[in-house]
Amino acid sequence: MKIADNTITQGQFMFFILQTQIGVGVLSLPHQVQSSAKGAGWISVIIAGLASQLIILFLWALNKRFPSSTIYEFLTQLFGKFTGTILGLAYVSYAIFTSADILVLFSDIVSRWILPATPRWVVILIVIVTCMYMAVENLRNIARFLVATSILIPVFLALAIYSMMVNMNVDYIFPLTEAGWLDIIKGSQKALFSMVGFELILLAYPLVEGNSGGKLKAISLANLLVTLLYSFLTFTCLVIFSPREIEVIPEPLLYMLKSFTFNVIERIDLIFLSIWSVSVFTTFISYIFMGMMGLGQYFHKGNHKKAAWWAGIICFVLAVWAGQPEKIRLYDKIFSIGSFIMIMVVPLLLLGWSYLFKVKGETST
Amino acid sequence: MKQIMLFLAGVSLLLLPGCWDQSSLRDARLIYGVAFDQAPQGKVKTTIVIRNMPSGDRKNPSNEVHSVIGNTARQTRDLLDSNISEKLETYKVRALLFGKEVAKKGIYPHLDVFYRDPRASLNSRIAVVDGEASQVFYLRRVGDTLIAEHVDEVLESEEDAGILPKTNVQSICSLLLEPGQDFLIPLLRKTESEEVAAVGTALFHGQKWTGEFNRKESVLYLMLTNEIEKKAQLTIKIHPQHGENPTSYITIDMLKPRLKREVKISPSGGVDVIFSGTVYAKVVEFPENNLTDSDRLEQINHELSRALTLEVKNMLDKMQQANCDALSIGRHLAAFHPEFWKKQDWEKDYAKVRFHPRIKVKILETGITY
Repeated sequence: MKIADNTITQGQFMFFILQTQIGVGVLSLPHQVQSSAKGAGWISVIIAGLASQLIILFLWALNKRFPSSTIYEFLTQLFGKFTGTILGLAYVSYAIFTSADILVLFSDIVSRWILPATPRWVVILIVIVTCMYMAVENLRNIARFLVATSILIPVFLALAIYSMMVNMNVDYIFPLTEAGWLDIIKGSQKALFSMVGFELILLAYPLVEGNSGGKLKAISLANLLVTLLYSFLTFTCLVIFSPREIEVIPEPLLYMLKSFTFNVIERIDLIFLSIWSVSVFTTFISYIFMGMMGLGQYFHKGNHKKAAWWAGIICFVLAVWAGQPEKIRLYDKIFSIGSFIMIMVVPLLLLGWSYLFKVKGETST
Repeated sequence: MKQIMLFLAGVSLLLLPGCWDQSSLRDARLIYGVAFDQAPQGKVKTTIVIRNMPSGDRKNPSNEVHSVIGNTARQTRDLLDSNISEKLETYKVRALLFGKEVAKKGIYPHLDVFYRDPRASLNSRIAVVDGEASQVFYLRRVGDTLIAEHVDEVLESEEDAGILPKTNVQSICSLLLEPGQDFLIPLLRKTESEEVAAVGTALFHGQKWTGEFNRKESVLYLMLTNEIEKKAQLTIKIHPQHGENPTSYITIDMLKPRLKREVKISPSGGVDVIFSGTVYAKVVEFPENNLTDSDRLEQINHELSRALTLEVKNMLDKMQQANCDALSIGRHLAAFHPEFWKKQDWEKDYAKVRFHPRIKVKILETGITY
């Protein structure tokens, strides 16, 4: 079968999900969770991690019933050709919209921090053009790339640890439950949306080698690492900035690095931005790949390369259109509602449907 | 197809690098120091020091000092920019000075642009000048060092000596914005002999200057906040009975002092703050010269402890008079006694906090003589 040279190992799968989860949200996460959870922001992140673990379990259970089909294939098996295709296209739109949203947030931060004079469309175009080179490859090549770029994650950590050692005041996170548990949960809702990315399991599951238990372990490990990393970074920002200050800083992680100087490097934030860009690109690649796989399936007889042009163009138009803050907020809203529906509600319904009508994929290929 | 791609890649390489956002050092004039002073009618006088890069025919670096009066910090910079060829850039600012009048009125309005601009440097050192801040920069150079670098070096060496707190634009931001927390900024003065001296620290409450510490008091403050990294020197009068005589004094090096702080709320609703611990010291000067036997040493330890505790007490009184909560007592209460904190009116209640310094001194070394 064609799948044979396209499979990935469980380790690669772990990094694939990890890199998809770590993305554009990490810079503003501490500010976002702090705005509702106050000093308990890092607890919100842990709660969000638990919630995403729960969702992962559902997604995994769904995939387990169709062990050799991607989401686009098993939707047809569940609902027949017509309805299945429509639902599949909904997932394609979700993936492409998410890619566009990533570009919107990315270009916004980049133009505020380093390239104020560069037109936004240029930044967006550069990202799309470079990432498309990766996205037209098969899953195995993409996974290899994502594993290779994971070396950059320890750099995130090292910089955060360094900043924390220089300047911290633990008093800032107290009183812990100042905001009340309700707001802490609300904060975790925000954190959850910067941690999505695990829904790629819907696409990648049949291509991962090994048994279903191993696959669950891999994705859970990825989620655990992301939760710990995010929670630590949030904690760092919360002990470095006073609560009043963090309220006025949209990207605390960058701001924190801006004030430190090594002997050789004056502005660590600029170096960090370049490293972080890679993380954003990997997330973008994963999502656009998911979208292109769907388009390929429905319109190009399974060849996702052919979808590259128009997926890229749609993405570009969507991203360029959202230039103003109101539109960015609108996109953010659409994304939260969209991902809530597409990765929580719909998969649960699908799971229920599949049990109810006893639809199952063939157990082995 | 491949060739077209290669061609496109080549062309884009020519076109893409740094088209819009290049800012080359060649075209920039780097501001090394900025000073703000009060001007009449609520305006601000900004003074900047620009460093001229040494180029071919000019071997020695030189600097220029310019002043202008305007409404806000940013506007004055734009006014200066229009006077000066090439573009002013703030990413190398080493020293940021506030004049006394500005500091008494509030410093945040002038700092805002530094926090907002992604290119501004957040790690430039900050200081208050007793008098006009621009006067310091108009010294232009002290010895062989250009003025902005000189100010930076003075501040740095005093930080290392454990006399001045480490402050930069970013470090005071957290403290500026948060209630229940205040801060100290190094205080400079232009001396008669055309030099810059670090005379102590300015106490701030909110964003306003409310008092000042001399050098000794600021060492004691740093001791209480455990900010002395290596050691700090202290001259204490331990034998007042000798009168104004060198023999009344002893000079010690405090070796990385670390004290414990306890904040207690008494049943009657008062706040007690206790500083306790032992400061290990090395005698560097003792004109009376008599430390031979251990009983005598014990006695000196005792006398030192008493004298030091008294000095700390006086320093804390001064701080309370200035209403400057630089020890973050308020923030501590907000964090660990939130219910109590809500009932407090810190503007008034801070003055009622009772401080109890209980500091012991133990001499470990006496140099190479007894």
